[in-house]
Amino acid sequence: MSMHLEHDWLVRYARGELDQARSFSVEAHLPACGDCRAAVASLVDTPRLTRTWDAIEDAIDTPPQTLVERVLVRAGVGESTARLLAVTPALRLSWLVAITAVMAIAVISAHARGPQGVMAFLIVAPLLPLAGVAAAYGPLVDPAYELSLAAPLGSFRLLVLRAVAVVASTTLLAAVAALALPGLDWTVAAWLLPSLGLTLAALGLATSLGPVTSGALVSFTWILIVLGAWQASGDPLNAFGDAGQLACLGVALAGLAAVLVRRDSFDIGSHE
Amino acid sequence: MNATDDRELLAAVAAGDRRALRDLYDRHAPWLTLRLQRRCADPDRVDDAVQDTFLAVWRTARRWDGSGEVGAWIWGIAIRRLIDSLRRHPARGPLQGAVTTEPSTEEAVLAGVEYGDLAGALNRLSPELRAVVQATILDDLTTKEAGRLLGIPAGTVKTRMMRAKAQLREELA
Repeated sequence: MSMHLEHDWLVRYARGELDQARSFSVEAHLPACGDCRAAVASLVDTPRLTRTWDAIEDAIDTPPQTLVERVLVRAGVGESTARLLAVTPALRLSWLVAITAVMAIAVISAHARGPQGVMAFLIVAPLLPLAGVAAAYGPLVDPAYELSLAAPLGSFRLLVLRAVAVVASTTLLAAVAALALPGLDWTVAAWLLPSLGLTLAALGLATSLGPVTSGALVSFTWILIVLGAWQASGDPLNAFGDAGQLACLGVALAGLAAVLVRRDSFDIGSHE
Repeated sequence: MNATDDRELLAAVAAGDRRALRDLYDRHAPWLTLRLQRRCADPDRVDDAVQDTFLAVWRTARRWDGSGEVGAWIWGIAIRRLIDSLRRHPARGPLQGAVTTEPSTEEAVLAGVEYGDLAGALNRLSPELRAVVQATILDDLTTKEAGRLLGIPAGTVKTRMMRAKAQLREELA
C-alpha cells in the first residue's frame, strides 16, 4: 500500500479517540504497512511492552509442563505448586508404573495362594505410600533437592504438599487393586489404617533419622510384626484384626504428633 | 521496514533465533496491543494474549505457509488467543466497546460529509451492530468466534449482522 495514514489519525487511534469508521481504516491498513506500524509503535507505553516481552522470554526459558503438571493445573492446582509436585520422584510416571506392577503381582498372589497371598498384599499395600513419601524429599533421591534448598518455601510445607500428593495417588492405586482381591470382605480395606500408621510413623522418625533410614526401619519392623503375629497365632491375617488396627491408629497419631512437634527439623540441612 | 523483512525475520525465528523474535515483537506488539485493546477493555488480558501470541509465533513459525502478510498472520493468532482466553475465563461485565467514545450525531454526519457515505453510515450504526461488523468483516472471524469475542450467541451475531447490512444498504441507497 503506497498511501499512508495521517499521523493525527494514528495518534487519536492510539488514544482510543478516533471514530469507528476511521479506526476501521487504520486497522485494515496496519497489518500491511510497516511504516505506519512503526509510527504507531512509538505511541504505545514502552514499560508495558517491555513487561510483556520479559514474560515471553521467561516462558520460552521455562521447560514445558509435564503430563502430571497439566493434569494438576487442570484440577485447579496453582502452576508453581504443580511443578513442585511434578518433580516429586514418587509422582513420576516410572514410579507409578512400578507401583501398579507391584500391586498387580500382589493381587495375583492373593488369588493363587489364599490367605497367605492376601497377607502378602496387605503387607505390601501400606509400604507403597511409605516408600513414596520416603522418596519424596531429601538429597539422596530428589532431583530437585538443590532447587528446593533455594526455594522460598518452607521445607515442611513442601514435605506436607508432596506427602499428601504421594499418599493420595498410591492409596488410590492400592484401593483399585484391593477391589480385585478374592472375596470382597473386610480385607479389602484392612490395609488403609496400617498404611496411614506406617507413613506417619516414618515421617515422625524422619525428624531425627532422616527419610531413608526411617523409611527402611519402619518397613522392616512392619514386616517382622506381621510375620511374627502369623507365627504366633497361626492366622496369616492376625496382625490385621481389631487389635492390630487400633495399634495402627495409635501409631498414626503418635507419628502425626511427632511430625507437628518437630516440624522445624524438616528444614533445610538438618539431615546433612 | 517492509514485508520482505518480516518474512526473513520469521524464517530466522523458525530457525530458533531469539533476536529475530525480539525484532518481530518490537514491530508488531505495539499495534497488536492497540488493536486488541479496542476489543477488550482488560489490559492484563490483552497483554496475556500478546504474550501467548508471540510464544505461538516462536513455536509455530516453521508452519507459516508463506502466503499473505506476516502481520495479518500474527493478528489471526492474536485475536484467537484473546477469544480463547474469553472462552476459558468469561469476562465479568461488558468488555466489548473498550473504546466507546461515541461520536455525536453531528460528528457522525460531518464524518459522512467529510470522507464518504460509507464511513458516515458505519459511524451511525449502533455500537452492538458495529461490533458485529467489526468482528466478522474487519477481523474476518467466523460467526462462532465473533460470538465468543462479543459474549453473545452465534445466532445473535447472525441477526445483528443482517440488521447492520440492512441499515447500511438503506443509508447508502
